[in-house]
Formats: sequence, C-alpha cells, structure tokens
Amino acid sequence: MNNIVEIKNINLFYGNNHILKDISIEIKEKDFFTFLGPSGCGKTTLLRLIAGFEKSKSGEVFISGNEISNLNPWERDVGMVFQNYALWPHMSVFKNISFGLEEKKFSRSEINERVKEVLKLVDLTGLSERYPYQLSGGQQQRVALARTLIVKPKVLLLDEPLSNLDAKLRIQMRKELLEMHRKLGITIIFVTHDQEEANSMSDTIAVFDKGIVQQIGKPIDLYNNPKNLFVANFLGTTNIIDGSVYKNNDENYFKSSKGLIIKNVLSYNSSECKILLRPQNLYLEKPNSEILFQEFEAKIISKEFLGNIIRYIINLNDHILILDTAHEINRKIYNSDEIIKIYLDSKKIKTF
Amino acid sequence: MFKNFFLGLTAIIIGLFLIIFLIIPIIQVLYVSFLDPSGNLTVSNFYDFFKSQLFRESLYNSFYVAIMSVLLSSIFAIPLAYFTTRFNFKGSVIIQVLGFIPLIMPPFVGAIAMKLLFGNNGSINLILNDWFGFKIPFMEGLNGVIFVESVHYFPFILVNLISSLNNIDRSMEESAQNLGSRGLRLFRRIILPLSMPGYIAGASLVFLKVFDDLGTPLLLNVNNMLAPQAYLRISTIGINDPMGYVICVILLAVSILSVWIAKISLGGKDYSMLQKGGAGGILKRDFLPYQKKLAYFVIFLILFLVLSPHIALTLLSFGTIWSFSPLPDDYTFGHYKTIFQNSFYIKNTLIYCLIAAFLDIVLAFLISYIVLRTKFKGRQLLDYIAMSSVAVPGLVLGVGYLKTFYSVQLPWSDKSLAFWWVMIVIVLTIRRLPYALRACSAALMQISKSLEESAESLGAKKITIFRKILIPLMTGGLLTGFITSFSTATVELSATIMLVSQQSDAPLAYAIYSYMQTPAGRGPGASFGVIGVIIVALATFATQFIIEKKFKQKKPQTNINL
Ligand SMILES: Nc1ncnc2c1ncn2[C@@H]1O[C@H](COP(=O)(O)OP(=O)(O)O)[C@@H](O)[C@H]1O
Ligand SMILES: [Mg+2]
Repeated sequence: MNNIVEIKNINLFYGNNHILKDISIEIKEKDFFTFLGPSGCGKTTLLRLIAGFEKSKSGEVFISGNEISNLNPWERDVGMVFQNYALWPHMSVFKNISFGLEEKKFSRSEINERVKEVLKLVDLTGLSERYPYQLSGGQQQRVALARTLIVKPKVLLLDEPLSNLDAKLRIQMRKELLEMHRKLGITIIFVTHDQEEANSMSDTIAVFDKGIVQQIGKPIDLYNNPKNLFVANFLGTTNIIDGSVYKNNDENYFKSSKGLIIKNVLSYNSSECKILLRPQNLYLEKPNSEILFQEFEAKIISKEFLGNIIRYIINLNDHILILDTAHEINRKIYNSDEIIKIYLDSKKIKTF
Repeated sequence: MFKNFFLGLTAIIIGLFLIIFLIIPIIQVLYVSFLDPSGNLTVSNFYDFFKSQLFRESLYNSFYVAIMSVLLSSIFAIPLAYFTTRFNFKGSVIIQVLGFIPLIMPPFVGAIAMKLLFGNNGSINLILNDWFGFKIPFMEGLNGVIFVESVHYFPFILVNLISSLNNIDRSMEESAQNLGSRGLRLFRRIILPLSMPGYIAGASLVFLKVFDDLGTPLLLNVNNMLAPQAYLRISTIGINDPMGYVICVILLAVSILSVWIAKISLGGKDYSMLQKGGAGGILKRDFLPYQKKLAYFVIFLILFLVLSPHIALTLLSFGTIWSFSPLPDDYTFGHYKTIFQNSFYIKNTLIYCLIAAFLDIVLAFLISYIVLRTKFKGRQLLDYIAMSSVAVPGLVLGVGYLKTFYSVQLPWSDKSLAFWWVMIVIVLTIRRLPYALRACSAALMQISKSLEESAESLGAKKITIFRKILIPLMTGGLLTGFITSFSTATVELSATIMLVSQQSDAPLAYAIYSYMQTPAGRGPGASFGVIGVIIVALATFATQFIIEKKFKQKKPQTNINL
C-alpha cells in the first residue's frame, strides 16, 4: 500500500522553544493512525502543521507524494476537526455543514443531496435547522465531523475528538468512528493522550514525548516490545526496578539496588540498567508449564478488586510492585500482611 | 426577621424614590403630549407635529445626523479595530487610549473650538485655501454636528468592536480555511457576522447619544433638529406648550428603540460561549512594510481628529483673539482669571456631582444587594427601573422634572421646587445610577455567598457583614461606580439645562454652554471646558491607579455598552 502522508524531518519552534524535534512519520492509505502522548508533547502542533496552520523551520510534508509544505491551508485537501469543534455559532447545522461545498461552488441540488447523506452518516437527520448552541456536546461533535467529511478530504485529522465527551458517550463514539472509518475507507490521523483509546482504535500508533517520536508501531507490538521506558510506561501498567546486570558462569544476573537477585535475564550492554515487569507476568501460583519459573518470597501490602482481575500491591525485597491475577470464583484471595510466594519467568523481563 | 424588615423598608423607599424622580416625570411628559388646551386627551398634538414643516424637517435632520454620525464613526472605528485585532502592532496602545476620549469630554464642550479649527474660516480651511485653493465644508450646518459628534463618539463603536473581535476564537477562521475558504469571502462569511453584535451595540449607542444630544446643535446654531426644537419650545413658549412634549415623546421612543436593538444584538447571541479554548482573538498577522506605514498614517490622522477638539479648546482657552487665522493672535492667562473669579460654577459642579455619585453608589449597593441576595417579590423590577434610565434622554427627564415639580413651591422661599439646586443633584443621580449599578452588581456577583453565610453562622450581624466583608471586597466595584458616575455627571448638560434658573446655582457644564454662546465668552468658556476635562481625566486615572495599585483588584469590566 502507498503512503498517503509522509512527514520528513520536521523541526518546529515557537520562539526559542524547540517544539517538534526531527519528526519523521509515514502513514499508509486507509490507516487509522494515532498520535499518542501526554499533554503538551506537540501532537496538536504537528496536526496543525499538516493542516497548514503552522510553519516548520525545516522538513517537509508530502500528501499522495506531493510536497505541500508551502501550500496555504485552503489548498491542502486535508480535513481537520478541531478539539473545541469550532462550529460557527451564527450558522445553522445545515449552513455549517454545507459551508465547504459552497466554497467549492457546488450546485445547490448537489449540496442538498450531500448534506442529507452526511447527516445520515453521523446520525443527525432532522437537526439541520438547529443552531450549535441548541446541540449537546456529542451532537456538536458530529456536526464538526460532518462538516469536514462532506468535502471528502484525502486525510481526516481529529484532534482529541473524544476528550470533551462524557465517559459513556466516549465509548459509543469510538465505535461509531471506527464504523465510519471502515465504511468510508478514509485515512484518519487521530490525536489522543489516552492509551486505552489509542490501543482500542488504532491500526498504527506513534508515541510522542517532548516533541520526539518515541516509537511507531501496531498497538500490540508497542506493548510487547516497547523501545524505551517511556513507551512501556505509557502503554500500560508496569513495574520498574533499577539495578545492574553482571555475568557469572556465562549467565546474566540482575541485582537490584536493594539486593534482589534475578537469574537468567537478557544481556545488556551497560551494567547500570532498569528492568520492566508487567503485573500480569508475576504469578501467585506456579503455573503448569515447562518453563523454569523463579520463586521469591513477598508480602502483601494491599489488594484492589477490579472485577475481572485482582490487583495486589506487594513488597518484594523492599521493592513495591503491582501483581495482577485473573479473578476466578474459587481462587484463593490473600489479605494484607500475608507472606506469599511469587513466580516469574525471566524471559518476560525487559531490560533497558 | 428584623433585618429583613429593615431591608424591605429600604427596598420600598428606593422604589418610591425611583417612582417619584424617574417614573412620574416621564409619565408627566407622556401625559402632557396627549392633552389639548382645555385639558382633554387627544392625539391631535402628534397630528400637528407632523403637519408642521419645521418639525418634519427637524425629525428628518435628527435621523439624518444620527445615521451619518454612525457612518462616519464607523469609518473612524473600523480600520482601527481591524489593525489592533488583526495585526501584531505596537500602535494598539494608542488605539486603546482612544477608548477613553468620549468619557472625558462630551461633544458640546469642543464644538465651538472645532469650529475655529475646521470651520469655513478655521485653521484647516485657511491653510487648504492658501495651499490648494479650496475649502472643505466640515462644519457647515448639519455637517458640523455630524463631524463633532463622530469625532467624540466613535470610540463607542471602536471599543465594542474590538472586544467582539477579540472574542472570535482563531479556530473559527482556521476551520473555514480548512474547508477551502479564504480572503474576503472568509471575512464576509465568518468574521463579519461574528463581529456584528459588538458593532451594532456600539453603533446603536452612537445613534442614541447623537439623537439625544442638545448642547452640540445648539452651540453650532443648528436649531432645526428635534432636541433643540424641544428645548426652544419649552424655554421660549413655556412649559405648557404641548409641542415640546410631543418632541420629547418622540425622542424617548427612538431612544428606547435603539437601546432595545443594542440589547437584542448583544443579548440574543452570546457567541463567545461556543468558542472556548484556543488562543483567543482572530488570527494575527505581521504587517508588510507598506501596510505598516499606511496603518500608522491612518492612526495618526484619526488621532489628530480625535485630539483636535482638545487642542483647539486649549488654544481657545489661552488665545486672545482667534478668527481668520490658523492660530490665535496672542496668548493670555486672562480667561483663567475670569473663571477663577467665577469659580462658584466649579464649586457647584463638584458639590452636585460628588453628592450624586455618592447617592448613586449607596443606591446601587443597596439595589444590587436586594436583587442578588434577597428573595423579595418584585426585586428584579427595582433593577429594571433603575437601569431603564439609560434609555431616557436627559432632555426628556429635565422637561419632566420641570413639569412635575414646577408647581410645588419651596416652603422657605417663593422659589419653585423644580429650580431648587437639590433637583439638579437628583436628576444627575437618576441619570448616572445605571453606571454605578452595573459596577456594583458585577462586583457583588463575584463575591461568593458562602463568605457572608459563614460570617453569619459565626453570629455576625448584617451590618457587620456589610462593613467588614462586603464593602471591603467590593471596593473596586464601588469606586469604579463612584468615579464613572461622578465624571460623567460633571459634563452632563441636557438634563440640567432645564433646571437652572439662576447663575449662582449653575454647574460647570451650564457655564461652558452659556459662555460659549457669545464670541467674547469663548475664551472663558474654553477655560471652563479645560477645567472640566482635567477634573474628569484626573478622576478617571485616579480610579485606575487606586484600583490597580492599592486594592490589587481586577477592575470590573467597564466595557462601554448599554
Ligand atoms: N502558540 C503557541 N506559542 C507558544 N508555544 C506554544 C503555542 N502553542 C503551543 N505551544 C507549546 O507547544 C507545546 C506543544 O503544544 P501542543 O501541540 O498543543 O501539545 P499537545 O496537543 O500535545 O497537548 C506545548 O509545550 C505548548 O506550551
Ligand atoms: Mg492538543
């Protein structure tokens, strides 16, 4: 498949602040591509750059192979839905939605036709004479979406589209967005700071921090093989222990800052390092398997019942760790201050 | 219980005060306009009004002048508003200062001085004639009124327009660009409609002020307009001549209409709510070099126009003889000597306005407290009545007072109640109450009720809560209300002109007006004008300073609107 968007070595400054640092991203046609990162990391800025509202100091943006870095926003054919929706308060829903087609000098009949179509798509049929202030947040968002979709842009840019909705509506809109993406076969660049949202919706995620792309990949790959601690931390709950790795009898040992020793970890080229343990890779009972599990003694500090899992906070050699077990009806539940055995498979430990 | 009784009594007393000094005089005016000579109700007075050639012409002229003033003001205001909000521009500071001008000097004060600068034989035309051989009739007839009013009142449009442009979030424009719109089309479809409410609010305010203005046309000797006609009828033919009242009713109706238009244009569509987030204000750009020069040229031209009444007034106040020459022949302190010999005018003004402003904030504090903090029935009505005086032209109120209180005699002298100086104070109080009330309500609204409630639960009495909590917290608002009332009362003419029967009771504005009428009086008249401007300017800057430096309170929004 072809790349529809290519971003090459973008550097962008606000005054002396280096906001985007050498960003390069390729986005495939029809992809649901997500920019994920904490607030202030530059996601909106990059989106605005693609839409033509910001100028970079260096680097280029290509759409369908054509360089667009020097085109004006109105010449770019990318549709942006703003985080605050930016509906025009003085225009009815119909007027808001038909604006783009009117600017492109479509005929009245075609405009009416397409407005009707898109209203149906976003499930707003019958509200076309309302004004934005007469709509709920969710409806406003649909109008904003419809207003952009109607001009059939090559790429759809969505800046935290779900962040202003309440929790329930957010889940529903996720589904609807995916549905729409599938139905229209459009390329979407989706911005969010919510990893769960990103994981559940995206084909591909680019994880951002401090204006730098940390890693690009499929959600599962990012989870399984994070390139650094930031990505690991951002995509799910983790336990991190710092210490060092040393070699003994051709085996790699990890020794933590508090004296915990784990055998058989992956080698690491510098001795100072951190290891990463997912909570679900720590076990309270020795699993039935061929794998050699290492056994440790630990103390339960507290437990949290999360429905499908029970989350224990444990003290392992003075390291405070999180341990998740699947909740099943007959499984033993441990209480605070109980001394327990835990098991881990050193192959599942990542070293950074 | 007791404190509620006391507050209730206060509410009733304030209500009565407003009824006697605002409602009844207006009803009187309405009533007389419908009376025939034998005292029966009739509409024939209105029929007579429209039959008269002079009155039809005056009606037409008043509308013409008001509309043209709105247009000319717009020509001054729109480019300035555009420069400040659209471009990264240092000149913005100058433009913001311009917003103050109409507050510190009403148009009638500068009218004569403007004539000396822009009249047929004024400085500018003499120079134009010398250099280019033609003159521009800036000040001929109605032109003069339009010109003077616009130069003074365009900031009302400017300030409202700027604030409404600053309320347009940049994403409004960006989303239009994103959908393929640009340039003039984008401006027409997005920026223009979104800035309309502010523009209309400012424009209707200018319209209202110009339509009601009495002093400027009188001083420029333009008598064929409505306000001067009403004044002349009543002051020459007498207070029982119905024509004066008919005109007042028309003035009142137009005035209410334009306030109403301003209200709905602002109230119905508060666009700012829907545009939260983003950086605020429309997209800013940098000027190209030639645009920058052009912008500065326009700004300095308008600045010159705006300051010209002040410059001319100052020259006039120091000049000996000034006619048929670009500048006065010679300079003197003589005029200022004259005014210090007649300093009672200044003293009167200070006394009247200080009392009026004080009454205003006391009333405003009590009204806003009653409206916002009690549950009395009809408390909202109190607020409406008090605020409604913005829609009543000063002249109409003055005429109403004259009619209502003329026949009441003071017990200790043979004078009529209408001509007692206290009436001037009261009319000023009523006229300026809305300014104080708005400032007070805004300040009180920012104070959380829980502050009072917690004090109350600790056993504090109402009066202690007033003294120890509300008043200190509201200082900024109270002070702003006080100064705004005071400074705008200082230069009030149209209501008081009806109520002055002897020079020794007359305020400063009246002195400026009466001195300016004769060529010999212009110098002293201008000096009085300068004194007035200085008083108002000092008061304005003092509030600014005190509020910002001492109280560290944010100045309540004194956006100029209705
Ligand atoms: N107009 C601006 N001027 C200066 N700095 C800005 C501007 N807009 C954003 N920034 C800064 O750029 C950084 C990235 O902002 P943004 O792209 O909005 O982050 P995100 O959308 O990821 O939360 C932030 O540190 C922000 O403070
Ligand atoms: Mg953002």
